[in-house]
Amino acid sequence: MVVLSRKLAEKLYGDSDPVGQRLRINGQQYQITGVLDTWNVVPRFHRIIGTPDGAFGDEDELYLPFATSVRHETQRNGNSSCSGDIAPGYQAYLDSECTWIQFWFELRSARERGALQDYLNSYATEQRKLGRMQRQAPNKLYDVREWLDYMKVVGNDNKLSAWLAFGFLVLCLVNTIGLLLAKFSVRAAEVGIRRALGASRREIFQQFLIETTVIGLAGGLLGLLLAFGALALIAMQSKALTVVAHMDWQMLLLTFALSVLAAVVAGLLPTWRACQTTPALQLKSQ
Amino acid sequence: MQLHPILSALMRNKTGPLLVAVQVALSLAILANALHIVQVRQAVASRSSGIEHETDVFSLQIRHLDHRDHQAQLNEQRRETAALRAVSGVQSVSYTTQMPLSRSGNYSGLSLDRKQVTSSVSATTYYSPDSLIHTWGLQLHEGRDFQPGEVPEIDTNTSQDYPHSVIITRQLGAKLWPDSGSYLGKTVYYGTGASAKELRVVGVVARLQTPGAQITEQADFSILLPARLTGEDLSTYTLRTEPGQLDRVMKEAETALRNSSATPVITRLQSVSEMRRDRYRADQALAWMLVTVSVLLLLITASGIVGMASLWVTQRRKQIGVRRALGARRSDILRYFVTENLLITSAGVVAGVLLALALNQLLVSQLELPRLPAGYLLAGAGLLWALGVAAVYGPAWRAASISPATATRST
Repeated sequence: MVVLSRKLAEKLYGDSDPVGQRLRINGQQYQITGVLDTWNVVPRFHRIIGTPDGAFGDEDELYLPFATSVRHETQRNGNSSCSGDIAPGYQAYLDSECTWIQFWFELRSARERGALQDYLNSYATEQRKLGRMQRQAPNKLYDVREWLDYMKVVGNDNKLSAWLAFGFLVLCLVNTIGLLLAKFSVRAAEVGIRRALGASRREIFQQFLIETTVIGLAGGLLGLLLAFGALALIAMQSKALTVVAHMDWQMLLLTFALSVLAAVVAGLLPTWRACQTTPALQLKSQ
Repeated sequence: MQLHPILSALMRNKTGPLLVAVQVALSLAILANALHIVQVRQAVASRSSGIEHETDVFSLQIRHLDHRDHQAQLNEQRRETAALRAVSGVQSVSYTTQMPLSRSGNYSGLSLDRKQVTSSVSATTYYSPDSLIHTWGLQLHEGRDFQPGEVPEIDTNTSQDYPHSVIITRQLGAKLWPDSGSYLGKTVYYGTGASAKELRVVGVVARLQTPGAQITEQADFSILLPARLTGEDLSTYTLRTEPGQLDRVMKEAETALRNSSATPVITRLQSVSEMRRDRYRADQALAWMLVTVSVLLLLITASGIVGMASLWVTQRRKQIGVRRALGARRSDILRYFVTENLLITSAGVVAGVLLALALNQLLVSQLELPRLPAGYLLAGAGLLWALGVAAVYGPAWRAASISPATATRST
C-alpha cells in the first residue's frame, strides 16, 4: 500500500484517479490507496534529520506503512546511531540496538502527555530488567515546538541576523532624530509666525507630528518594496530558502507599523523642541 | 588652536553632538563585531578539503532500481568504472562511499584498545577499491597508498569481513597518538569491544576533510579503507578531469554511465565546487548580509554627520562672518569645524569601543561566537575617524567659503 501526495499524484497520473492503480517503487509493486491533500508544513518538523536541507527541504511525496517498508527491506535515509558493531544483513539491523526510528504521537489533549510519559518510563524500566537500554538515558518527549528548539532549527545565525536588524533600527532612529532636529530647527521662523498668528502649541505639535508620520509612511512603503526585492533575491539563492523567503500578511503589517511607529518616536523630540519656540524672540530676530 | 571655545560651544547645545556621538558609537560597535564575524566565516569557508585542484573533481551517483546479487554488483562496478575511464578528458576514476563537503556521510568510533568502553574519537570512513589518493590528489605525508592485494570484496549484507590496512589523516593521528612523531604501523580499532576491527596504519595523508566539514577539529578526522563493497543500491564514483574540462566531461560521463546499464538508472552529478558552495552557503549569505549592513551603517552615520554639520554651519553663519571680518582665515574656520567634529567622533569612538566589547561579550555568551581581537576595534575606530573628517569636510568648506561681507550685512 502507498499514499501519494497530491503533487506527485498529479505529476504521475495527471487528471485521472490514481487510487487503486499499482506503482513500482524500487523494484516492488505497491497499490495506491489514497492521495493526501496538500500538506505543506514549514518547517518540516517530521524530518529535520536525514535530508541536507532538513526542516526546509522539498515537500513529502509518498507515504508507506512502516511494516511494509520493513518487509520490503527498504533502505533508510537519515541518521542511524549504533553503539556497538552489528552483524551484516537487514534482519540483524532490525534486531540491533541502533537508534534510527522517530516516533510521533497524536494525543487528544496536552493533558495526556503525562500518561504517555509514564507509559514510556515503565516500558524502559521493563526493558532494562531484560538487559536492554543500559545507558539509563532519560525518556524525553518533545512537542513540535520543543523539537524545533531542540534541533536548533532557528540557528544562532538567524538570531544574530535578528539582533543585527534591531541594532540597525536603533542607529537609524538616532540618525532620524538628528536629521529631523536639523530640519525642524531651521523652521523656527515659520513656527514663530504661526504662533504669533494664534496657533496653539498643540496645533504646532500636530503639524510636525503629521509631518513625521508622512515621512514614516513614505519610508515604510519604500521599505516594503525593498523588502520584497530582497526576499526575491534571497529566494533565488537555494531551494531551501525559497521555502521560507516569503512575506505573509502579519509580517507585512508588523514591519509597516514598526516603520511608521519608529518615525513617530524619532519625531517626538524634534517636534517638542519646535513647540518650545517663543514667537516674540523669533519675530524680533527677523 | 584653542579647544576651549569649541568645547564650551558644544556644552551649550548638547543634543546634536550627543546624537552624532551615539551614532558613531553604535556604528563602531556593530561594525567591529560584524567584520570580525565575516573574517571568521571566510577563514572557515576557505579551509582546504585536501582535494587538489577541486574545480576539476566531481562525483557521480548512480542508483539502480532493481536488486542484484553480490557478483552482479561487482561486475557492474567494474563495468561502470571502465566506462567512465573511457570518457575522453577523464584523468582518474575512483569508486567511493562518500564525498568531502557533501554533507552526507558515515562516521564511526575508533579506539586504541579492545578493552575501551567508549571510542577515542569519531572519524569518517571513505571506502574505495581504487586510489582516492590518486583521484583526489591527496598529499601523502608518510607511508604509502594501498596495494592491489589489500582490497577485499565484501558483501555487506552477509559478510563480516573487513580490510586490515588503513590510511589516516595527520590530524587524526595527532589526536589518537599525541606523543608520536610517526603513525605508520600503529594499530587502531574500528568500533569498540571484542568485535572491533583491527586496522594497521599504512599511510598518512596531510589532509582530507569529512563530508560534514565541521567547524571543529573533527573536520579533518577521516580514514581511507580499501574494499570493494556491495549491498547498496547506490554507487558513487568520483572523477578528476583534465584541467578546465569539467562541464563537458560531467555530461559525457553521465551519458556513458546511462548507456552502460541495461535497465533504467537514476543519476546525480555534483562538482566539488558545488558541494563547497552548498556547504558554506549559509556562511557566505551571512557574510554578505553583514558586509551590506556595515556599508549601510557607515553611509547612514556619514549622512548624520553631514546633516548635523550643515545645520551648525547654517546656524552660525553670522558668527562665522564676524570671525572672518575680525581677521580669521578660511583655514581657521575649516579647522574649527573639523576639530569640533573630531571631538564628537572621538567621544563616540570611546563609547563605541566599550559598546563593541559589551556586544561581543553578549555574542560570546549567547551565540557561541569567538572573542573580538583588539585589531578590529582599532581598525573600526580609525575608519570612523576618517569617515567623520571626510563627512564634515563638505559643510566645513562651505562655512569657510562664507564671505564676511554678506554674512554680516543681513542684520
